[in-house]
Amino acid sequence: MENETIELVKKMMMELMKKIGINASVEISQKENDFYIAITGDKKGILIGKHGKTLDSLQFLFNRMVNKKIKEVIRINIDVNGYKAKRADSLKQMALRIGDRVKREGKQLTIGPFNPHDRRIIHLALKEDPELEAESLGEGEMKRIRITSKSKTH
Amino acid sequence: MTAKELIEFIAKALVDHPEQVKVSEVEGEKTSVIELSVAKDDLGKIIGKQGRTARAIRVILGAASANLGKRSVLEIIE
Repeated sequence: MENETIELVKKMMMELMKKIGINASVEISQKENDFYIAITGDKKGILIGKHGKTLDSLQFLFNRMVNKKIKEVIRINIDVNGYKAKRADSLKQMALRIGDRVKREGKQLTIGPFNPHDRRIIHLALKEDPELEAESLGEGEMKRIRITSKSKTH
Repeated sequence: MTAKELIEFIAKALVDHPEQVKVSEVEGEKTSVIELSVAKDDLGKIIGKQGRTARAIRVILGAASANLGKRSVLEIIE
């Protein structure tokens, strides 16, 4: 039965890629109710978009389409040519660099705005440093992050 | 691929009444307008909470059209 779900998800994604006009190979793995789709193909930039905006939309929409079709609720994560892994890594490096600057210069810095997924990566990276404090600012999907040094506040 | 087929595929996968999904394409010189109409009680499924689904459909349509060197606009008929 689980194999049937994988087959269905794969078929739907291949069809969607065809309709978008992209030649792609689709690999699917599964961990309980989480499905991971790795898309490799030509013109990968088209599926990613600026700061991953197209990829976010693709993932949101595809979750809707699949969960309409099947009875059990599953969560689908999509990555294109390893983009998300690379993005997570560069966000983490950036957060640590800015954190160092905040500590060195003893002032606060505000970065962003970022979407919830990117924010989570940044907060997790900064949490490892007990001298830093990070706080999300603003309303809605996109928020900025303010980074302050704890040692300089008193 | 055509923009019309793409929208039809996505819309039919989202609604309760796929047989009532109607898509037409009005081609302009630079921009095509894709008109989508669905059953009245399916409208919410196409639009989504705070318009999130409709926004995602438009992003995908934009990406697919750019791939063909075109521009398409999605009109959801209410």
